[in-house]
Formats: sequence, structure tokens, C-alpha cells
Amino acid sequence: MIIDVNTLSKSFEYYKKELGLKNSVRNLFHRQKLTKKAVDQISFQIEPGEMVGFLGPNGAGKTTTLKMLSGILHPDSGKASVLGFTPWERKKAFKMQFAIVMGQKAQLWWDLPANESLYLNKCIYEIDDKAYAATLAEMTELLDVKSLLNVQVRRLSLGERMKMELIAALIHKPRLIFLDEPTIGLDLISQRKIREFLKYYNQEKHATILLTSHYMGDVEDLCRRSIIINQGRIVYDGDLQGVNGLFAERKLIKLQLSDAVQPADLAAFGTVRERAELSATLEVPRMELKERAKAILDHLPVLDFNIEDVPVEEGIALLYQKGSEPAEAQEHAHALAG
Amino acid sequence: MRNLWREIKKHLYIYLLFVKNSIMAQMEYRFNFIGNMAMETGYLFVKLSYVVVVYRSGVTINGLTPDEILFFIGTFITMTGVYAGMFMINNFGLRQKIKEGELDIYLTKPVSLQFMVTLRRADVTIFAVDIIAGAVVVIIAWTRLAIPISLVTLGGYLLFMALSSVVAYGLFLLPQILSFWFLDTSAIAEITDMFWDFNNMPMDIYHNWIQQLGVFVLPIFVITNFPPLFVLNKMPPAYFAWSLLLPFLLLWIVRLAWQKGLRSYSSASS
Amino acid sequence: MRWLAKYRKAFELGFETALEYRLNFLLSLVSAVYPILIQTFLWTAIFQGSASGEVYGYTYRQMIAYTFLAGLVARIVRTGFEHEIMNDVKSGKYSQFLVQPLGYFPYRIASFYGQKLPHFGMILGIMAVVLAGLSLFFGLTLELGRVLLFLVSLILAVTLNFLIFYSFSAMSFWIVEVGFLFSGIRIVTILLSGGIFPLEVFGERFVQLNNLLPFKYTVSYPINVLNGRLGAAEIGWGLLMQCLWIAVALVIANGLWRVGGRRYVAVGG
Repeated sequence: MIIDVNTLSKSFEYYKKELGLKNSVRNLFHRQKLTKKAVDQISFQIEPGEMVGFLGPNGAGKTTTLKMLSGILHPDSGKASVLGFTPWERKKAFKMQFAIVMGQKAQLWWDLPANESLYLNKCIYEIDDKAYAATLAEMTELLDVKSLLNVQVRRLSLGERMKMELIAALIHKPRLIFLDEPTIGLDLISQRKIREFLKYYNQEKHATILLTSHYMGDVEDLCRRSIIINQGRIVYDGDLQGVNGLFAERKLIKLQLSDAVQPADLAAFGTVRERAELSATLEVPRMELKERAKAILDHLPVLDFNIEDVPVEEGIALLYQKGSEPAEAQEHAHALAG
Repeated sequence: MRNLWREIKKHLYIYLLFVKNSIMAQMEYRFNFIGNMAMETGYLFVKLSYVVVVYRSGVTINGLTPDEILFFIGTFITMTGVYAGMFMINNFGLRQKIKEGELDIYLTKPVSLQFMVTLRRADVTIFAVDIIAGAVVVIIAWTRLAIPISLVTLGGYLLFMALSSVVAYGLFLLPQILSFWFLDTSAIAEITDMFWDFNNMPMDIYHNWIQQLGVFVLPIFVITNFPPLFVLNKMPPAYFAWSLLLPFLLLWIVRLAWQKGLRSYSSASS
Repeated sequence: MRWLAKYRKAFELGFETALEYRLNFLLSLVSAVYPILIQTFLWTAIFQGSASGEVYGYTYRQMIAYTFLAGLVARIVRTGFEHEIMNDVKSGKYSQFLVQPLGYFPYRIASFYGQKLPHFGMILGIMAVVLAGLSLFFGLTLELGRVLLFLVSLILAVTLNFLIFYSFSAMSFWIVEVGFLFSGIRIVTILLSGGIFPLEVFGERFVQLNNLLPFKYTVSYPINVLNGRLGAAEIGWGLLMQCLWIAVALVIANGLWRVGGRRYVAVGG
């Protein structure tokens, strides 16, 4: 086990701010202290070589969790063991073996070519010249940025910069990598390139990767396992497609029509989700898929016909909305099906 | 012990890289370079105007001849290079770094965080202008005072300059560490920074009780007065003992405050 | 008079800005206290060591009065719009003024006066306290006539310093990223204007050379009007010189900005 998290909790204190001069003056003397539970008793384990996605809405506690696991933040309670260390003790031997990349925080020197910052990291992580040269050559090759090493970071595009950040973080060949929103704000091509790279890195180097992302695509593409977190609690832990398992009671039928059809006629075959003049999407219970499909083909002027799963996003959105309890989410799914 | 030495060597080498990177980054903006030089030269003129006042009035001030005062002012200019060129930018940047959570990444590096944050940048223009000008002034004063060059005088002077640099580092970092608890400390920062200029003249021009205050309570005078006092053989034994103790005392206090601040950072920031 | 309204607006904006940042300004006044303190101690020590009661032609009380007043007057005339102008030129905001019926110069000067007004009030208040203290503890005597003339010369000094720095600001057309260049210029001009030490300190030759420059009319001259070192004829001559320098600076500023503006259009902001 490379990461073992046991009932980890973290809350933040903040002050209630009200507008207006009167309140500002009052706040001088007495401030109302509020606490927000950022992470609430989470537990999970990660095995070496796994690539796990961390999903959740803004403020769910993803970044806070990563920060605790990398030793930046102290938890209020709970235990965590990462690479055999307690991260917030910040032992040197621990720091030498992992890396964290935060999409919104740069470690490269803005006005200098990236290779200067990379060399600095070489010294910080005490890498010998040969290993450094080899790693650098390999990674610049993979990410296709060899020619950009001598260009000032501020002249690089966002995608190129992110690639350099990745190289800087991985130059000491960490066994464990935390990635916080690594593809935020990037164009599609850079996103794909970085995904390919991470996949390769995970497979070839057997590095364990834990990543958070806004883009479902990142996680769907990369991670066999995802942990979904909402309001500081884990609401789902498992195969991402399994989220759909929770909602698998419904299927979507997409239709292209040759003639316009009355809404009432469509509704006879299922719940109408979308409707345009010559197309429609119907939601039907899985159990009745066969009969419904047949009926539709028999009674409607169908040109084209498609059966699809409910998109993962929708399942997750439902998890966010309702469930702080996984069980509750499941109930909800059943309610939908029924 | 071996490990400690290895760590020190590593940190020293990284510091060299910091300096090199700072120079390269500054070279990127050539006109800024000129601007910094213009500013520091302007300040240099102001410092030298005090020299003019002293020489042209031709009087001994509280027992110090103009040549001796020149020695103090030269030391002040040199130390300004050290302070403004090596420490000041980092000190002023600390608040911003804490506010924007920039410490996060540094915290995960296998290098001392305090080292990374408080010595990361250097302004080589300011450093060069003041060190060169200061050295010239000190050499002139040294020659005019006909001080023999020996291991004791020159070595002692350099040693005291090194101790002074440590004091300058600790003393001016301390108020900035408050940024860990209070986000807006710009006023404190600015006011403490201005204290620096009290060293423009030897402390002998101030009342005795101000001198004692500035040596033992708020040890600002130690920084530029002690090296010339030692060379001029005017240093009382109490000062001598204090000068050896103070740097370590300050570093220890800074270390404590830093760790305390960091604990608040890593438990409060989001 | 409708064209005047927009400049009145600029004036008001400057005024409001100054009030908004009054804490900053008060803080900068604190910073003016440091050199005053150091210099006071220095002069006290020098006068103690000197055999005669006079140093550089100043009595002790005149020197202390000069030191206090120099710190305050230098603070009153001080500008700060150089960096704003540089940013306007760099960011292309200056183009706006080329196409709108709004002159950049009158806009700047209106806003500058607007900002100066509250500063003026605050500093004059402090100055009154300082002068009262000086006359109480150092026996400084003040004549009403001199105070009035001092105020007139102060207004002219503020205007002159505005024009000097408006001229320097034209450098923004040639050099981008000037950084602290203006700070360097400011410090040197303060020294040349007598904002740190009386100019006599630096010797006869320096005074003669400095007489050919406008700077002393921004700090040194107004103070000497007040502290009684200048006779009636010299005061009159000084006021004339202030007006003359204002006229010269106007011409220079105008010329520099015309050339710079042409370059701005040619290069494209």
C-alpha cells in the first residue's frame, strides 16, 4: 500500500463578513468565527502503480486532500501514511520520492528559459548528471518540447509551459505524483498530449498517480479508479463506469426523424429529454428497452436510431446534488428508475 | 556531521544558482536594470552628501574625526548593498508569497523552506553599485586614517561585516514574519525598513540612551557601527561580547518565529 | 465654460484619490520624520563641536528650522504621476487622449492639483505645529508678511515641480520599463533643490552652478522666504525667477511632449 488514509479531517476557520461601515467597525471588536469542514473523515487506500482520479465540484475538498497528502497542510485529525511516511512531518526522505504539480501554481522562473529551473531542481533533488541528462532527454522527447528548453518561460504558450512544469516536477523520477488540475485552461491538443504522457509514465515507470481534474475526459481516459468527493466526504470509490451502474436503470434512445412528430406522440414511448423538429432523445427504463425500441420503430418515422448510456457527468452531477451518503445516491437512482 | 556538511554545501551551491538566475532574469529587462542603477546611484549621492557636510564643517563630532566618520559611512554604504541587494526584495516578497499560497510548492522541496523563500532573489545591480562605492569609500578612509593592514584589522573587519550581514538578515526578516498571521503588514514593513537609514551616521551623534537602545534592544546600530569600531579600536568589551552573541541569538529567534508562522500557515491556509 | 467641466472632474478625481489614500500619505509623512531626526542630531553634534555659533552661515536655530521645513516642503512639492504616465503610454491608454477632446496636459495638471489640495492642507497643519514648536523651543520668529509670501512661493514651487516632472515623464515615449529610473531622478532633484541639506553646505561653486538650474526654487527658496534669510529684493527676484522657470519648463515640456507624441503615433502605442 503506497497511500493509506484513515479518517482524515480538516476544517478551516473563517470570519463572517458583512457589508457596510457599521459592520466593519463591529468586526474590529468582535468577529463571528465560522468553521467549514473542508475534508470530513475520509479514508481510502491506494496500491503502488495505481492511477486514481479525484473528482468533485469546486470546494469539495480535493485540493485540500492532496495538500495534506503532500505535507503542505496539517490535518485536524486522522492518520495518513504516504510512502511509509506521515506527510506533514515533511521528512527529507519523503520529499525526495514524490512530486506535486498544481495547474495554477508555477514553479518555473518566469523570466528564464525552462532549463535553468530544471537545473535548479536537479540540484535540489541531488540528481547526478547522467541520470539528469537521460531523464531530461526522454521527457522532452515524449512531450515534444526539446527545442523550447532555451526559450524564456514567459514566451511559451500555456500548454508548453504546463509540459515544462511536468518535466520540472518529474525530473527526480518520483514514485508518487500528485496532480492538481494539470490540464486546466489548456487547448484540446495539449490536453491530449499531456494525458498520453501521463498514461505512458504510469505504465512504463510504474509510478503511482493521483490526479484531480475538472475535465471528466482526463479522468475517464486515464483512471480505472476514481474517488468522487463532495462536501468533504467520499461519495463514490470505484470504476468510473460504475457510476453509471448506479444509474444503469435508464437508457437513452436518440432518434432522427423524417417527419415532424407531435410531442404527445413521442411521450407515449418514454420520457422526452430533448426534442427538435426532426430529432428527439427519449429516456426509457432498461428493462423495457427491447419493447420500447420495437414500438418506436413500428410507430414513428425513424431515419436513424441510437441507444446510449446516461452520460457519466449526469450520474456524477446527481451524486453531487444529492448524496453526501452513497447509499442515499443509490436510493435516488432507484427512485429515478422507478 | 558529514550529512550536515553535505547539506550546507548543497545549499551554498543552490544559492549560487539563485544569484545566477536573478542576474539572468534582471538582464531580461535592460532598462529596468538601468533604472535600478539610477535609483541606487541617487541614494548613494544622498549618503555621500552627509560626507560633504561632515568634511566641510571640519569639526570633530562627539570625538570622531571626519576621516573616522567617513569610515562609518563607507561601511554603511557597503552594508546597504548587502541588505538591499540580498535581503530586502525577499523580505518584501514574503507577504505576497504567503497571501498567494506560493509557499505550497516550496514546502514539498527537499531544501530548507526558509532558505528558499528568504534568499531566492538577489538584486545584483543594487548590490554592485553599493558594494563598489562602499568599498571605495572604506579604502579611502582606511588610507587616510593610516590603519595598518594586518590579519587582525582586515580579517576582523571582514568578520564583523559577515556578522553584521547576519544581524541585518535576522533583524529585518523578523517583522516580515508577522505576515504569516496578519495579511496586511505593508505599513510595518515600510516603517521598519526606514530604520535602516539611522545608520547613515555613526551612532555617536545620538544621545547615549538612544545608542544603548539601538545596540541592545533594537540592535540596528550593531550592523554598521561595530565593524569600524573594532578596527578603530574603540569597541568596549560589552559590545564585543554582544557582537558575537547577537547573530546567533537573532537567527534562533527568527527560526522559532518562522516555524511558528509556518505552523499557522499549514493549519490555516486553504 | 463647458470645456472646463471635464477638467474640474479630473481635479475632483485627484482630490478623491488623495483622500482615499490618506493613510498612505500619512505613512509617507512618517518616513519624512526619519531623515529630519537624523539630520537634527547631526547638526546638533556639529554645532556643539564648532567654535563659532555659525555653520555655513546658518545659526543653530536657523539650521534646525531649515531641516524641519525642508522635509515638509519637499513632501508638499513631490509628484508621483510619472509612473502613471509611463503606464498610460505603455498600455496605450494615452491614445484615448489623442482622439478625445481632452488634453493630456490639462487633465494631468488638474488631477495633480486635486491631489495636492488635501496634502497641502495636512502638511500646512503639521507645519503650523512644527513652526509653533520651533518658535517656542528655538526662538524662531515669524512675520505675517513672510508667511503669506511663503504660501505664494509654495504654490509656484508645486507648479514648477509639476512641470519639471511632466518633462521628465516624456521619457516614457522613448524608454519602456523605466522601472526605478524616476525614483533615481527624484532623489537627485531633492538633493539639488535643497530638500536634504541647505545648498550652502556644498560650497560656493555648487551654489553658483545650481543657480543655473530650476531646482532650488522648489524647496530651498520657499524655506528661505519664510525663515528670514532673504531680504525683500531677493524675495521679489526669487518670485520672478520662479515664474520665469515655470515659463521655461512649460516650453520644454510642450516641446518634449510634441516630439514624443509624434513618435508615439509613428511607432504605434
